Amino acid sequence: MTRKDKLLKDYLAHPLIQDKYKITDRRIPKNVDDGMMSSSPIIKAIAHIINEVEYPSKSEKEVEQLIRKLLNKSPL
Amino acid sequence: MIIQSVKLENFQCYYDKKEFNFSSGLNIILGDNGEGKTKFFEGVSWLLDGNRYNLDKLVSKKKLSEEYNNDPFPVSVSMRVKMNNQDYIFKKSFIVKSKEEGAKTSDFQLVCVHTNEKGERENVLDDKAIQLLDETFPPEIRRYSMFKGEAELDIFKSGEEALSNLVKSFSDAKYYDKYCNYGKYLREKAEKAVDNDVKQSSKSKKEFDEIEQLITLKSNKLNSHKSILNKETENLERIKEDLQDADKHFDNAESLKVIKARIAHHKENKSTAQKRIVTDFTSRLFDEKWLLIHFENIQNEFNAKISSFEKNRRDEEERFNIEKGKAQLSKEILEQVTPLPVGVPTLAHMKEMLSEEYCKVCNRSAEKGSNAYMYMEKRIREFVDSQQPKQVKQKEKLYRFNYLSKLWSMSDSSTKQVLKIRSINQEITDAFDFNTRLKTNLSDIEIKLEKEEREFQKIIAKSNAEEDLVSIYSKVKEWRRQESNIERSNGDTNKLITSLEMDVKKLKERKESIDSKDAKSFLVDTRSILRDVETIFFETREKKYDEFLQKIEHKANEIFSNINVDDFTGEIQLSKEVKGDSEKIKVDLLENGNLYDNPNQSLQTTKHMAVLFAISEIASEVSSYGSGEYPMIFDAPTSSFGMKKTMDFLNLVNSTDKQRIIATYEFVGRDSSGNQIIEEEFSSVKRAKAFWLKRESFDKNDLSTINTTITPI
Repeated sequence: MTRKDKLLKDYLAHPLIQDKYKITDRRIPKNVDDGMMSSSPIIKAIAHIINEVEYPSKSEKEVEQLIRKLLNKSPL
Repeated sequence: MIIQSVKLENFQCYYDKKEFNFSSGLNIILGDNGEGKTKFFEGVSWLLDGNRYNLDKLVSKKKLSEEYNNDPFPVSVSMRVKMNNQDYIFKKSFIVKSKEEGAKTSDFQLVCVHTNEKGERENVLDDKAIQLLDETFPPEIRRYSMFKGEAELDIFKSGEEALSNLVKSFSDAKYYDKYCNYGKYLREKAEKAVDNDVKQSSKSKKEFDEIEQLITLKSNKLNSHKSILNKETENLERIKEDLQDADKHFDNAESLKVIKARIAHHKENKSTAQKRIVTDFTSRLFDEKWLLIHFENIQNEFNAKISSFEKNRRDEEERFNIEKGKAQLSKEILEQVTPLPVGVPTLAHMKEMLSEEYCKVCNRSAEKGSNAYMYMEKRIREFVDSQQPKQVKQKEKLYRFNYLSKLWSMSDSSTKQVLKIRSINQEITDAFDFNTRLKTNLSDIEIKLEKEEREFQKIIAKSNAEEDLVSIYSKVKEWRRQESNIERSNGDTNKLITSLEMDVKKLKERKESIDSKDAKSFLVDTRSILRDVETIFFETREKKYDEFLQKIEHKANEIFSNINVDDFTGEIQLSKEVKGDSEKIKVDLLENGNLYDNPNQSLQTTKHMAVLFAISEIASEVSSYGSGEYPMIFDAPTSSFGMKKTMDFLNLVNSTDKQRIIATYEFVGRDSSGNQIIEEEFSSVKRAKAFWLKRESFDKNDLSTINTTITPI
């Protein structure tokens, strides 16, 4: 397991994911690439953040705009 | 990585070239205080991290004095290590010229000779050598590998960086750090987006602005009070620590008093014994005539010689007298007359016979001028002469002087002394026996004194400084007052903070209600998600840190319980303490789940060692360092242990089968003559290798005579 996939797994193991967002284990993506394609905005946001932090290609501001754009478009 | 050897050349007390060949297990360096244990440690530290300042302080004074005005000589420390089947020799050295003004040193140079698995060698210098050294023995590992004294073992005591350094070095938890900042940044941006959107709506702008201002105002106040509370809490903790130390000092002061009295007593006994021990017997040789121990033999010989002389003399005289008598007798025989004794006949008869010219002895005439007449005249003269005061006529003697009587007189007077002289032998034996007993006694006193002085040093080490004790007594009252003031004031601040937090919470709730009413819903939703993302990032990072601490804690407790076999049965607890922006690691001892206050120094040291060994084990598992094991070097880590516990501790360390180099003054004792010995107990200490450091005989006042020798045991 790559480090970014391990990070994603650890973050998605947080109780909020199941308790508040009602995301079951079955819907938890196995890797960051799958996470970025997730239908869940929080998973998508976390996956994109990990992707950008581990393999930086954008500035912080650009990442922020990307994440907000993703979330603003995605209904909860 | 295994340290195979360390070579010191003209480095401080290591004159010329001295080498330690280490094993991959437990290596023990024994040495009394001042024999070179710490200098070894400093040598390795200098090789690994030493700078180029004060190089002259590192030079062997003995070598410096020997090479005065001669050719330059080298000072170096080198270490041969093996890692992943490759050999590295790191050597840091500089050149010294001994001159009148002292040591003139060159800059140092670090060289690495690297031999790879194929046996290919390469030599690299300076920056490249430093890089190789850091790759072989990473600085992050070194930080947790080398410790001087007991105090350094508490790596968490000071430094808010301790936890982050530890995590950065040995835990994957470090990868979660940056996400916290990212999460916060994104959440703040989302908050701002909602705020801006609400502000654009004219409906609640005024109320929103007011609430926002109030939140800002109260939050600032809240932060200010929290900051004050943090500072005051830190002050309070310091005061509490000082008071705890003061309590220890009080105990130590009492112990010091007792030990000082014992030391004074031993010193007095030592001084008395030293005064009584006779080292100069010259006066007794002469004043008490010890010199005459063999006089009796000489006198006997002397007497024998006198006797012999006397006998010879008597024999000679006898022979002489006989010869003389013989001559007289033969003369008288020849004359065929035997003269009458002088005075026979009487003077009156003689005069009468002369006057009558008739000899009435032989009854014949003796006319004047006849032989008979002249004979009688001669006899009268002889008689008259005999009546005159005696003109002693020296009797003819064979020997004119009698020296023998003088010699006998000398002999007689000496004989009277012989009885006394005869007792000198016993007197000398007694004096030497007494001296030996005094020396043994002195040696015992010195051993006791040394023990007490060590104990004294231990207490001083715990107390920092002997003189501090008095000033601490006077400060305690002030500290107690401050403690009480701060506790009261912190109570008030806490109430204020709780009240402000409530206010801010209510204001935020009001603000939230405006947000949800006036702001665009997708902005509120985005903010909600990013708030959760921040929480997830933060709490996951906390969880990772806690897991890491638990891992250290678990390993530390395994080691701790082994070190404390049959002793303390509690456990170590590692926790994270957050104050403001700083995080510290707290290492506590728990007994039956309760905090164990004021553990003794030995227990504290064991606790720290257990944590360090745990970190070392964890470090060996970290893949980025090649998942190898690293050596640990300790200089006198168990000063407070005592021999029995040190033995248990070393046996445990040995059983871990990891390379540890431990220098200690335990097990070095003195025999009855005051010579250094290794105590018998050391034979029960299991180890891979041991070395005994001893200085060659030296002059206490002359550093240029110091030379430490290394003897493998």
